[in-house]
Amino acid sequence: MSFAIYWATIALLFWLVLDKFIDMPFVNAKHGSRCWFVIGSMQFQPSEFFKFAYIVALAWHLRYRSNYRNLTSLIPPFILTLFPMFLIYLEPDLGTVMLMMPVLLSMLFIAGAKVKHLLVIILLAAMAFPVLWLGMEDYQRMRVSSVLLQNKIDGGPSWLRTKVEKHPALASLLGVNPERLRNWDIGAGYQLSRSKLAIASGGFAGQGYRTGPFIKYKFLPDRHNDFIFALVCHQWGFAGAVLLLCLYAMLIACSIEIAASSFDTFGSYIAAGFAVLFSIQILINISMTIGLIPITGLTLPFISYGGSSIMTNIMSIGLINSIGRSR
Amino acid sequence: MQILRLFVKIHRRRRFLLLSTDYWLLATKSVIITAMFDIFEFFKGRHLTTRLILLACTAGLVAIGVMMIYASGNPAKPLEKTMPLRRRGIPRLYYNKFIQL
Repeated sequence: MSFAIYWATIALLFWLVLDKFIDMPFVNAKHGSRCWFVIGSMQFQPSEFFKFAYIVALAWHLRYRSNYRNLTSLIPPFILTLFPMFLIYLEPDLGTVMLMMPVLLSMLFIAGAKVKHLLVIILLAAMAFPVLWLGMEDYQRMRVSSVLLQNKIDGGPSWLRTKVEKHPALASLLGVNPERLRNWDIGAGYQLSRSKLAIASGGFAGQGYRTGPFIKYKFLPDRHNDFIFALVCHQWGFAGAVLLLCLYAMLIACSIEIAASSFDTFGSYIAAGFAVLFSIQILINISMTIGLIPITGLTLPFISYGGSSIMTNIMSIGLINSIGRSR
Repeated sequence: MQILRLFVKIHRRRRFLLLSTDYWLLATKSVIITAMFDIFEFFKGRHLTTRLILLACTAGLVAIGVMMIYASGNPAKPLEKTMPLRRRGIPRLYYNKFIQL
């Protein structure tokens, strides 16, 4: 059953990727990304359901394979991860791609893989980064670079940005278009600068619910979706953000508690996998909102707008509950 | 659970009932009633406190999400008054007023 769901979601992902080459029915492409299936008035995102299916399938695989103490035994879980990762990369949905490797490494660690082996794999991945960098599209490289080139707190350009403006060779290495760099606030850094502005203007207690210029005048793009954390900070300030993070911390702690005390190894791996998934997703979303990592289309669990995302998250909570209840 | 078992029993013995309206009414009722009674199963089993906290956190987060999405308005409908303000660089003025000073 676990693998049936996994392969069903892979088939859907494959369908989406095929749309790149042939015009496939039921596929909706938005902003150059083929992430949505459309059936009538309904649309859903298979990569969201894939997260759920992936954790269940991986937990099933790890449960019934006894030895993860050597490098060769790590190959099957990596195949289980890399093949769909490649499909999702082709959609492209970089947020979900970024999410999968930390989940795999954490679950392997929980299943008993040696830290030494995992470190070797991380090192190899880091060594492959230049190849990945050269294979990226210009807009993707610009997204990564824009984190390093953002404004300082006083609104002036950062040290690296002044260097890049002076040296065109450095700009081409970073994949930066000097023309767009001059107007960073309204170009490559538009979303990020608005997001940071919204967070900073919240102060300690915030501007109040449904008040504040970012609500009234809709200055922030994607505010209901990927940048909803900025909206929380803008309206409820630092206090609201802390409340939100406390709720997340309690949710993750409860999942870990259930994972740690479950008698069934399969259930234990599932609960741990979802705890890691939630943690990484929250970490990536909040980090991109405050400008620590590049902007990717990744939702904030339970908060962001999106039916597929919320349905998958609630299904995960239901599963964790069931694992906790059973003896 | 009993009603669902009863329904399955009837279904096995009287398959010709498939065209009857009562048959489908019983099917719907049995599924709904079973689901309703399954909710009470939540209070049985291990980790009750942990599960209650987990559900409360989820409910809290979903509630915050609904409030935030409601506050953000309809993303497909930009306000008419927003565009002139954007052209005049209001976010920059706002930044200067609230962050720098």
